[in-house]
Amino acid sequence: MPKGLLIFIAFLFILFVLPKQAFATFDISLTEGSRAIDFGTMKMGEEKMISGRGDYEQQFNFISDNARIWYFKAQLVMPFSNGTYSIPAENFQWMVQEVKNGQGAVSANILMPSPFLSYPALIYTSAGSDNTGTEVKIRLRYKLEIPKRQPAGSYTAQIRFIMVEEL
Amino acid sequence: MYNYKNRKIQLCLFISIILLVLIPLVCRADQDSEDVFASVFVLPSFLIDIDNNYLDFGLVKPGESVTLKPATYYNSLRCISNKGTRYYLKIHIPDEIIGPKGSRIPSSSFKWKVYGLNGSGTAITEWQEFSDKPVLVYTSGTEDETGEEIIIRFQYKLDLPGSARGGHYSLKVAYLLTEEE
Repeated sequence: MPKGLLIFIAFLFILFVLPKQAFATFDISLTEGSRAIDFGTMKMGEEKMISGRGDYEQQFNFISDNARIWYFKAQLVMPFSNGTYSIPAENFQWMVQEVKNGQGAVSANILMPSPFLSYPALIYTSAGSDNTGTEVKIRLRYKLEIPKRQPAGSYTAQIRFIMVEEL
Repeated sequence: MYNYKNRKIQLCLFISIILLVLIPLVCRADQDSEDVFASVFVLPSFLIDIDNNYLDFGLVKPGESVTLKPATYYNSLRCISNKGTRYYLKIHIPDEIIGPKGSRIPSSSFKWKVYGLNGSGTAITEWQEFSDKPVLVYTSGTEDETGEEIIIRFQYKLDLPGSARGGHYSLKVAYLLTEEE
């Protein structure tokens, strides 16, 4: 194999692949609030909005310098369930309380609760400096409504918050 | 000449393979995620309420029989339990029915029956005499025990004995929601 070709391939690798693999930043992290959201005890028919840190419950930080649009999505991987019965997914809602440093757009109206869905549903679309290394902070709060008819017991749900470059 | 051509083809193939490997790596969409858990404890409910707790038979002659609202029901009870266990609705007249000068009417002179209901359990729908001990009115069904609101409608009847002394009588009817059979 010609020596020049090897150098060319190595150059391509260094130019495109290594920076992306080794130095690119693309990260979502829960920086404030617990990984376990606790609604405490609730009665049938009761509605509760939780915001344990003043006016929000959790803060997620996002950083990307890929120079590409990214999306923040939420997926209800498992609805509230006690093993036998479950609480309908639409009774569990998220609400964006605040976006800090972001230039993008929230999919729903800010301060307007939207139900969690069983598939990844859009919360925020990045724009401008969000894609070039600015740390965006999104604060969320959560609302749960227990149906008027719901068996007593302990219920648990699992939510996945996703930062992704594909819509 | 032949070697040179072959070498060119080999080179093109090699570059194509390299590009096929590099392009997906460069163009791959990034993804990162965080998992969070949420919990709630739904409190148990076990309650009963009544829409009309005043039974008025009005003026009744000795030996006369009176049914309150005979064409329909007189009052209804709402039972709610989300405890997932069987429950029972019972009824009785706990105290003696005492009238003027200590005269008494036996509680068995008063009768009740379930006129209608929306539950999946079983109810007594024939006239039954009241007793001073709680007697079974309704046994819940599985669907009832998940927090369903069960409405049980009652009718009441008085068969006043011919020997009853004139005057005002009052009585108390007790409804009991229990998990004990």
